[in-house]
Amino acid sequence: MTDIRYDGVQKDYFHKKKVLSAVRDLNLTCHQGEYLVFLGPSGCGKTTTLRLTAGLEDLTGGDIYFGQTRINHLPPADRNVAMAFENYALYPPLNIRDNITYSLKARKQNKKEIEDRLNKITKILEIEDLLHKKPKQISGGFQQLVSLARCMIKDADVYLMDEPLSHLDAEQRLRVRKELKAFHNKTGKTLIYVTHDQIEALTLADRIAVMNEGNLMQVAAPDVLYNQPQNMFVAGFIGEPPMNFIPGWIHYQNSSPYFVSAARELKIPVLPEVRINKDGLGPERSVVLGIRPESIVIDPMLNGASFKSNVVVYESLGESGIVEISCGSHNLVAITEAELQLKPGDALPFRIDTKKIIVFDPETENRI
Amino acid sequence: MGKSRQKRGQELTMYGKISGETRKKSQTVFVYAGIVLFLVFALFPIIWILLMSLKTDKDIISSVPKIFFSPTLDNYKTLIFGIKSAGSEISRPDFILYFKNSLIITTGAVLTSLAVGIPAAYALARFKFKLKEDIAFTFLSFRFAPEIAVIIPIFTIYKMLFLYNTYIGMILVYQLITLPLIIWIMRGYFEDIPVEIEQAARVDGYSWLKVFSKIALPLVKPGLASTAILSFIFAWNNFIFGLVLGAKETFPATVGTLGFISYESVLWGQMAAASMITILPEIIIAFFIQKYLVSGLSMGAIRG
Amino acid sequence: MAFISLVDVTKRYGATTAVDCVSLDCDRGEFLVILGPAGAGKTSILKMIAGIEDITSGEIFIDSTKINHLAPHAIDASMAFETYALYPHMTVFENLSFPLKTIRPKWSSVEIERRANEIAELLGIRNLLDRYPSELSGGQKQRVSLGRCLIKDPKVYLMDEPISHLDAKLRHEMRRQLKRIKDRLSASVIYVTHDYMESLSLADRIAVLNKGKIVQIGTPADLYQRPANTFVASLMGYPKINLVEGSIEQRKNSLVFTSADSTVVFSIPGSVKATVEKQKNNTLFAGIRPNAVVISQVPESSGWNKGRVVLNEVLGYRNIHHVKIGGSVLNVISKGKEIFDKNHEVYVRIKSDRVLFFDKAGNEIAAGGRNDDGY
Repeated sequence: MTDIRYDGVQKDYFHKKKVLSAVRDLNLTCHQGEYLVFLGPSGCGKTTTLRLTAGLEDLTGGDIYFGQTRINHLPPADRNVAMAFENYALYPPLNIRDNITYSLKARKQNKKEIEDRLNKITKILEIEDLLHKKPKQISGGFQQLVSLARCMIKDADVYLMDEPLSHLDAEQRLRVRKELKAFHNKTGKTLIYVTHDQIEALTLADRIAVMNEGNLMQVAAPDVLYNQPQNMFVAGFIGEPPMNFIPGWIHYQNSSPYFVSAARELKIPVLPEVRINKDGLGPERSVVLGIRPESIVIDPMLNGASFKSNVVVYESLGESGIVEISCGSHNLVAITEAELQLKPGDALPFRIDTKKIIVFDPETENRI
Repeated sequence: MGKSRQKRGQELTMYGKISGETRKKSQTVFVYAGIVLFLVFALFPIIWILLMSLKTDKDIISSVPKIFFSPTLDNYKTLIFGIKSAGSEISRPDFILYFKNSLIITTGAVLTSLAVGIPAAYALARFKFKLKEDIAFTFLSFRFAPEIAVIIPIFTIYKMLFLYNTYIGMILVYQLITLPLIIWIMRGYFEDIPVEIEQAARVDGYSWLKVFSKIALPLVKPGLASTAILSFIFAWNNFIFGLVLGAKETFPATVGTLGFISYESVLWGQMAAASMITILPEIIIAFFIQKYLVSGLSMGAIRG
Repeated sequence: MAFISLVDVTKRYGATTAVDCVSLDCDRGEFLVILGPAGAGKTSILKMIAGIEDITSGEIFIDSTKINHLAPHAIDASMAFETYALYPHMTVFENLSFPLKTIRPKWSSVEIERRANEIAELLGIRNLLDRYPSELSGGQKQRVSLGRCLIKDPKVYLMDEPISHLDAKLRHEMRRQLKRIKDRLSASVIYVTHDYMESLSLADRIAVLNKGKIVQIGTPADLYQRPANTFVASLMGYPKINLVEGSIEQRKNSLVFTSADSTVVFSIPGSVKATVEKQKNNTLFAGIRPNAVVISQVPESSGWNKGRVVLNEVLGYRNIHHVKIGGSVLNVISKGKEIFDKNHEVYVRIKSDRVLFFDKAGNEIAAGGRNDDGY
């Protein structure tokens, strides 16, 4: 068991004389025993990266190392990895029991041990009743659990999972998530996981590698990604509801920097506590302000430091509410109590928690 | 989306490996060696005949097969134009007639089967009715019986119905070759269309006939092309129906080639040339439509 | 009779009963959400209303007309499929305009183009009109599917999980967008989902479906505050409501709920005392919502229960602590910024006025005081 190192990994596809880069110059080290999650929208290259790790795709450029060994040309069977596919990839003619135990039988493991493992895994995933059925007799969600079982039953160095929960309903998802975390804790093996669901990533990962259009945007622990995103993509992708972005400028008043929104409706002081590279705050510098919905405080008691807005849409969602407000030409989303009675058009004053703002450069989209 | 890029990657690297999987170099050598061996085995007869068609009869029957010779187009000239050239026998200019017959019969048979078979395939794919699978199986069973076993009864019936030696008769009997193929393959293509797409069109306000013409048919176009070509090839190659149920006026090219064997001599060169001309349409069609063949045969395997 | 009426509708596929004697009403212009887990039979109901699935038994009426044996194209409905069901051989524009071509009197191509552009603009897919479905991402396909459904003005819109496959950001946006245009739609909408947030946000009324049967029908407020049983209570909310098994006891001079091992104890509020007292000798479930628990380092008064944090999910603004108290594990959402680490000892107080009580079979007995402001 060792680290997995991605060194300048590149994967291109050639189609009709055009080059499509699925993965661009990926440099990343996955530590031994780590639960690493590749997170990003569909098409960002995360599944491709997983398949490169497994050996199901060839590298166009760069290298992948398992420890000190360069494994670029090692066939999948020799890499000692276990993989759960998003599309299940079950063997249709075999029943579920045979599907799950296939690889163990192929490696001629002890019959009793295979039975033990089978029982344990199927119990955890609650699929014991399905063992005698065939894949096409069970629903998509259960097929996905079988695919997961087939992966988890193996004794591999690295477990690779491609969106293994995407077809489960909310309840199954929660349950299996807990089991995955327990599984990782127990085996201590490296687990590389791909998903587009940021809540899944935040709950499961030791570190998250956020990808977009083949590029690695940031890799860090969940709370670091949440509180210190390095660019607008990561900031906007992590966090539900997503971060609000307001374009504007930096304006100096009495030597203190202020953010002024593009249409000049909002003026927010950039406090010293806000972690910013101060040299980046030149006067009249055009920036984008990022504010998370929970940093916007709906304040029914009008107070001097408030801003005015009007309600666009208010949703009462049980534990909390989400309101979209329009402040001049900007629309912002904020989290509120669930018990408010807000209608579209209502006037709503609000405050901003100025300690939590993040400032971005509009062109590079990086954090200042 | 990442997935569609992978699919394209799979298509591009489809020879030999499973998608882009890493493979040992030694395996590659074996794979290529196997391919070369098979090509030699498959193409050898055709190349031999091609060479034969370009040799004079003397060269053909020489005891040591001549690899180096001066090629001549005389055989082709004789076939097509019927010119008597010095040293060769009188050929049968009838070959052109037989080629024409093949065209008429085969094209007619395929078109008829398409007109009848496509709606049948759709019905089998989408509708529920009594004895559905029995009917489907009956269609398939046409292909089970060896033609020789049924040819005598058919001959008798044809004589009675005055269908002997008629184009209509030939096109009709050729349905035994083309219709089962078209129905069975097209049924699969229709079944591959997710039924929800047709349901969506129904909800959008279209009757089942409009759904068939506007949605189902366009979506099976690649399958149609490949199936039509496959049945064309099977029909074109048929020998026995033409031989027994036809006479000089309706002999297809396959039977016509027999005419080069007489009790006195065998016109090897012209027979070879006739063979080459006979297989030419198939090669041309397949060559131009091979794009459709690949996508048509793999459609349905890749879920969009 | 209501505008759309399902009367004892049953759907069987061979030996499996997907929909079991369901009766539903939807008024003109009402937004009805059918909420239920996967496989509950929701899609079958929509397909039967649309006419693309046979009705095994029962009757469906739209605008006083029985539609059981009508062909789909004779039923004035439009549908957004969960699998999108886009026409692969047509561009996005052609997909969107396909339903308009069957309207009589015929629309001119100018009118069709205008309407298609309008819908495309609404859903943010204006720039995709020339593309084919195979060139679209999943989220884009879903919006085209929704557009094709909304482009007509039928008696009823049938939507099958129309936003469930979008990524979180787009899902929030689309949900708000749907809420905004909801008022513009004069037609009835029957919307199927497994996501409770969509139901709370969009529905005028929600019908909860489980294994083919209706469990409860009511407004979002009804279902959240007075769920008929533990199934409905568990559906609504994330994290799920905590269900603690226990009983009612008289202690000193107050009536309390106590868990089986006496680790979770709180006093019964006056508003429900009478009803709950009748259950004194029976096993009960107390339904405690994650945000009805206060968590603290030290007990701020008496009546706090002691526990230990076994897991914490720090999801940005909403921190979920899993607190083990005796034999129960409670999920707690802490509003404050405090985060308690794993294995930390903490104290919790149950806001007893918000507790829901269920009997042994899971049916509701009483609900804590209702906030008269609506929620």
